[in-house]
Amino acid sequence: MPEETKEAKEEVKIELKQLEKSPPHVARKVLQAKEKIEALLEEK
Amino acid sequence: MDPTRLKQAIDLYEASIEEAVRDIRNAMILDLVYISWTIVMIALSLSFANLAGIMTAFGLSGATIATQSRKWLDAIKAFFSKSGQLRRTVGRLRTEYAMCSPTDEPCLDKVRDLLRSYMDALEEAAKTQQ
Repeated sequence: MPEETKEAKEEVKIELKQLEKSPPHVARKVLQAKEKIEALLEEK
Repeated sequence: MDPTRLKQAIDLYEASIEEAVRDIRNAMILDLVYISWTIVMIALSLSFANLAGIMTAFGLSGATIATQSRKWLDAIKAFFSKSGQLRRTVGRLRTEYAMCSPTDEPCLDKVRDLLRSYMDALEEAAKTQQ
């Protein structure tokens, strides 16, 4: 695996861990749009 | 993955991140207003004995300011660290998306999966720390 890809994967892992530690009210605010986002991401 | 729909999803994600960041900032501003108001009242109570009595009755004192100041500092720290983290995720999505050509399905799927991972992580945050 190229070094850059490895680094990017590590960064994403860190970002995900940080997001998991977000204050619940902040997370819930973002999740209000989840259904709409999911609908857009659904394959047609 | 349709690139237009993916872009719309990223836009929507960004809009909700901005709204969440605005909420954290508003909480920080409210705390600051409260501290400022308490400081002004304490300053005034030095001249007006009645006011000092009223403030004591409501439990507003230097200790309250100290507590509120600490709370406000925590709020500032949370604002800068959280808003930075949240905005970084938007930046990454945008960068990854920009690197995909509209016909590059695997690349677009990768961005879609990344967006889903972010949503899952936020869902975890909303669940575990209630």
